[in-house]
Amino acid sequence: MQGDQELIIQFQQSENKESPFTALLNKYQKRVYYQIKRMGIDHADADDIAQQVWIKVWHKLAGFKMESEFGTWVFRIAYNETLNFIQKNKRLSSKIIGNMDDFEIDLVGTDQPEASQINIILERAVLQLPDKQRIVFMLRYFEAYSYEKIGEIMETTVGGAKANFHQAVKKIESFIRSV
Amino acid sequence: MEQEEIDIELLSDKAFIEALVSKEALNKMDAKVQEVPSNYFNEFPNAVLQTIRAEKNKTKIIRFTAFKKIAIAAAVLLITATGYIFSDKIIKNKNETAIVNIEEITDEEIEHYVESNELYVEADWQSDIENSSIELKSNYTPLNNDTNKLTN
Repeated sequence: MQGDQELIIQFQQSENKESPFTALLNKYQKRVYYQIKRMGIDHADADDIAQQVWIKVWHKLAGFKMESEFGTWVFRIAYNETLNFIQKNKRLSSKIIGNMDDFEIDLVGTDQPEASQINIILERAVLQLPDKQRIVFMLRYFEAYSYEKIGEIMETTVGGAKANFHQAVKKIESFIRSV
Repeated sequence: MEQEEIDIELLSDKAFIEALVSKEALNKMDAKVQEVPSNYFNEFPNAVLQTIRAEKNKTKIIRFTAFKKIAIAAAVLLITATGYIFSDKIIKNKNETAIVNIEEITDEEIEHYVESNELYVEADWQSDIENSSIELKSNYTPLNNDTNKLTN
């Protein structure tokens, strides 16, 4: 199996660009898609955003200078595309808030939330986070990324990434306690 | 920061989260993220490539080298400058011909012009007179009977 660098060079130098591009796409498509979905995006929109991400990769890969890892570079494109999508579609946040109201009514009269309810609580707690805090939380817990890598993806400092993570955890904690 | 330290920090962060929410709940939440229609990841690369191919067919991207860019800029400048100079000359020429025409007309030419146009002027006068007589006729009203009697 060829490494990322080899595939990139092949893309940049040969006429047949589709083959190395497809190899890179196959390798990273799942992680890109999951990263987008973890930002609170549904499948249909995540599919659109993921396509946009890979089309951008196709156009920009010729100029990629390998100063960072290919994966980090793709995740950064995915992060920016997702943020753009969220900013353009403000309806998303109002949809979440609407669902949260329904959810609070469901919990009235229950002393101990059941396992399924705990999942809902967690989901809501994560969805109410600001975008940056949500993505740091997700990348840190589910992708087990270092703060350095998260900083690179989000174009922020290590300190900034850490601060976002701790803010996210605090907000999740206070949300859970409030329920 | 060494890898070992990074791993320890990550484990402590994870433990901190899992103290708040059960690991099971976290995993269930992520399982929902990983729910995709069947065959989605097999079909996705083809969908992307098809979009790229369609884009390629639609728009043929013209890539300009640095030399071409300079050449195009120079050509645009040349056309603009030439256009400016010519338009300026044309305006000047127009003004000059107007002055020359007035100054260089000889008496003979003026006389010839007047003579050749005299007929037209006369014709114009004639038609004016005829028109005015038509108007007069149309305004003419016969005198009443009393005045007729007087004249008789």
